[in-house]
Amino acid sequence: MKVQVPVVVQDPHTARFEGVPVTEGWDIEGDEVFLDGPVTDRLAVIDFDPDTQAVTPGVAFEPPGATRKMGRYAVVDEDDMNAGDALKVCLFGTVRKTMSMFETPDVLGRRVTWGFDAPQLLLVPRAGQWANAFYERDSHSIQFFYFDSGGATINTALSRDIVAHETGHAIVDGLAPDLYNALSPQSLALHEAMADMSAAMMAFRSHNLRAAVLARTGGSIEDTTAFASIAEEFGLALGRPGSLRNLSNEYSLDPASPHCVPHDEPHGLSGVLSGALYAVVTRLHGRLTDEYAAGGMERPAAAGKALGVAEQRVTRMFFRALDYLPAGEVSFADYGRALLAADQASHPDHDQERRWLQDELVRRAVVTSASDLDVDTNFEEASVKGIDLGLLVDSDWAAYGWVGARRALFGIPEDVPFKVHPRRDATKLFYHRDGPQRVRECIIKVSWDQPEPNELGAGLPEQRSVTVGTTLAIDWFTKLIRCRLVSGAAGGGGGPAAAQERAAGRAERTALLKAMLQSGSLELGRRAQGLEGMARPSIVGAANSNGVMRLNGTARMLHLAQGVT
Amino acid sequence: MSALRVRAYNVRFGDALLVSIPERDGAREVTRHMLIDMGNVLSSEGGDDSVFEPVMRDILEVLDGASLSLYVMTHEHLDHVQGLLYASDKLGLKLPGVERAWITPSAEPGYYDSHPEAKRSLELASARYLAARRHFNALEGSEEVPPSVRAMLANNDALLADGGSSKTQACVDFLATLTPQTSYVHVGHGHSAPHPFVEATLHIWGPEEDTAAYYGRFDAARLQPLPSSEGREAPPLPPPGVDAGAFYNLVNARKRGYFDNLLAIDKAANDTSVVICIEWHGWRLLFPGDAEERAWRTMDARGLLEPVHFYKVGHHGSHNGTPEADILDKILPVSPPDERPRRAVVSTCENTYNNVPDEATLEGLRKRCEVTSTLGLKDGAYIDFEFEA
Repeated sequence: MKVQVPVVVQDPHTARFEGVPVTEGWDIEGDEVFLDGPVTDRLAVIDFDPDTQAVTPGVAFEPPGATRKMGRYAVVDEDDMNAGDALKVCLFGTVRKTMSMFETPDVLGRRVTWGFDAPQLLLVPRAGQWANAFYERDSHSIQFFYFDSGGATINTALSRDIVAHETGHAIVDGLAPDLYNALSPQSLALHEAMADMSAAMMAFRSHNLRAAVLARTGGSIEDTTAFASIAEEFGLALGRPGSLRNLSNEYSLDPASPHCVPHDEPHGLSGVLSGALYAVVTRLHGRLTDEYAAGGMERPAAAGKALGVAEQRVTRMFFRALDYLPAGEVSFADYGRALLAADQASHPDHDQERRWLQDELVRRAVVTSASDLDVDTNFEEASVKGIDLGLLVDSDWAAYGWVGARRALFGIPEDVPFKVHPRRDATKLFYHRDGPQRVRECIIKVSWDQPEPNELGAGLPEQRSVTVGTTLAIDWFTKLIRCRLVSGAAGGGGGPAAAQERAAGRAERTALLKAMLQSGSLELGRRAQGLEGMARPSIVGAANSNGVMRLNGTARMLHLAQGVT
Repeated sequence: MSALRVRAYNVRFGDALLVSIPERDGAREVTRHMLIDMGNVLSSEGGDDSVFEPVMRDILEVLDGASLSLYVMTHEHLDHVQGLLYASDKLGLKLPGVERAWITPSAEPGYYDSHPEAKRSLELASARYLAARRHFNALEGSEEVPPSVRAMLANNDALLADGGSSKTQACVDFLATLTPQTSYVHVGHGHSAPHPFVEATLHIWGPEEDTAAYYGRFDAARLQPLPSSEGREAPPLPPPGVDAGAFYNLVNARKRGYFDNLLAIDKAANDTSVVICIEWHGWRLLFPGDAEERAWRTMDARGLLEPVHFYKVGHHGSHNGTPEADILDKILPVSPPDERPRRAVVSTCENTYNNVPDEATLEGLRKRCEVTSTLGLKDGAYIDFEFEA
């Protein structure tokens, strides 16, 4: 069955580009079951009436029939975006398209799974009055708020950037669940950067928006445009000079740089990574535009084609890296190594984009030299011979036994308990000169807890637990190791700067926790409980487990609008 | 010379502490009196106003016609401000005079005009308070509103947008006019805030002048309009095809936000408590109002905390009112720094806030000092603590 749903093209009130529709149709094809709501097996829109708090009736689904080739949701007036029915269906369409961007064989090659143990993500389009939106694992939901600005109601559920950003958080939580409870600012910042890149890549995917932006900028995407700015309408409505974040930036970790960001603040920190990634996008776009123009295309047409091709390549690179990311908490350098490994394993002879990325990460002081990011790919490993990957994917018992017998391969210390994450069986599409190829791989992620001193005082335990881990990707047919990455905090990464990277990570964790403690957003044990012993959603709770501190839900601090409480 | 005396009254869930300080006035000895707070919460068992009559009569007897030297209003919570206005209006019992008053800085008229960050925080808190109040009022009579919520709503009614309907605000206004010599004191005053005592030094450890320092994060979801009556009668049902467990988790998570916000509001006001350490003839007596963890951490960061011999247990013995061991060690170290006895008093009432007083907190204090409670005293009765010169 084919179903067409509207997807938001741009923020309704910003209207920067004349002639660009607010929404555009997008087709879903497959065996999903659609119910009124919209509700499917993986998404459910739950709308609370702002006046009564009752759950409003779902928008009726109209299946294909004699007079209609495609199914649709019966929105009364698609131009009345703030009406409940259009709001619900546009939100559903934009979330669903963001999921599709990740699931295509060109990227992850499988259905995304959520970071909670249930199939359905709940979408709340009108969660209440507030200038914010957030993904929350505990309630299986993304909650979008609305607020008044200049007499108009701003629905965050109608912002393509915000919807794609929050959906990105939900998807990243399924791919890298350890980041949700991370203590490391860079781990939380990676969550945020991936959410921002989800928003940017979704903007690239709109044909209408691509054409309008390139026409206005003369074919460039380098400056602050609809692609590099996140949530422009939202930012303006909050009285800020422009968007919430600008990916076209010079942010750096280098204390000597005028663009240095605080190392303990995840939102600001995320700009370093997303800035580096966006710089790769603009360089690739520029080079492809030149190539196509040199081949005889008119420059505007060349820029348009280049943007489409560049978007596909970088989406592949940036998000496939999440599959190869080591389990546990990670640094930007860990992500950089995962990104290079994912690309190098498939395109060993074509390293232009990898070199650009290395340059950017060195330039922004994420690593001290390009060699810090070196990774081995496609190598033989004796202990993998004879492996039954199907059994390993299906059976937890088999997986634990297999990993337990190969602690050295994963870097797991002796006598330390470990966790084997659900194994992933993914078939990904790769493009080579001789045509597309499919590679089936098994991804095995293992994590364990590593104690480190907890120099916080305030009655907190003297040790804290940092989750670290390893990811092993194995080619299903050749049994070659496509990559093996151990998190930097667990001794991975190698190179002369590895020890320095680990020490910096520990210092950043301490700084973040001190800031949380001072702001009252971190409490230990019973102090984290609210009235009548209830959990407090606004507090990150710390538990003392035999003298070791463990945190839960630090990523809940990653509300879209930091500081808007 | 006579002993300094701290008299702690049982006002149920609230504070009323009369500190009588002997001083030399030339050749003769005079005793000057300081009253720190007087109030209790309106809701539940902790809020019986009849307790104020015996308390006020005793205070008047102690004053014996003299003026009260200093009145201290620690913070804008009903359980700390209500008593004097009630005694004046309902019982016709008035203090013969008040020389000076110290009041928490955020109660000063115009305070929020000159403190924009605090104003922004207050506006957010006020909006969330109103939303919570509407929510819980709509559920009045239901088991979904525990006594602690009713007490907290009453205690924080200074946040009502219409200040005229706020009982707390009426009390604060009354206290601010007790004397023309009113000072709005904060940590920046150190020991230099004006007071009539000659031999006692009064150190002010808190609050910060800018109360924005005490507001944390509020929960988001719960800025909701009033639920409809239909909504109350028929709890929302999951739409067809929606995971019922997840749906009800979501509905409950949204409700939890009201509780969380109310608690955050309550904590912020508690943290604005005027914290006074009285130093007299080698004794140190600490009165922290209802300061909670965040205020304690701020005082510690400023390096203010010193060992004391008397501790008015913070926030009626809640587990948030007394700091964790690393900070507690600085005011009540396990090993006493001198030979003088160390004592603490908790003025509290059961069945008002859940787990207050907190037995584990009091047990932790008992390892460091002798702890006495107003529990078990008759309404309006008192306990005295004397400190020889």
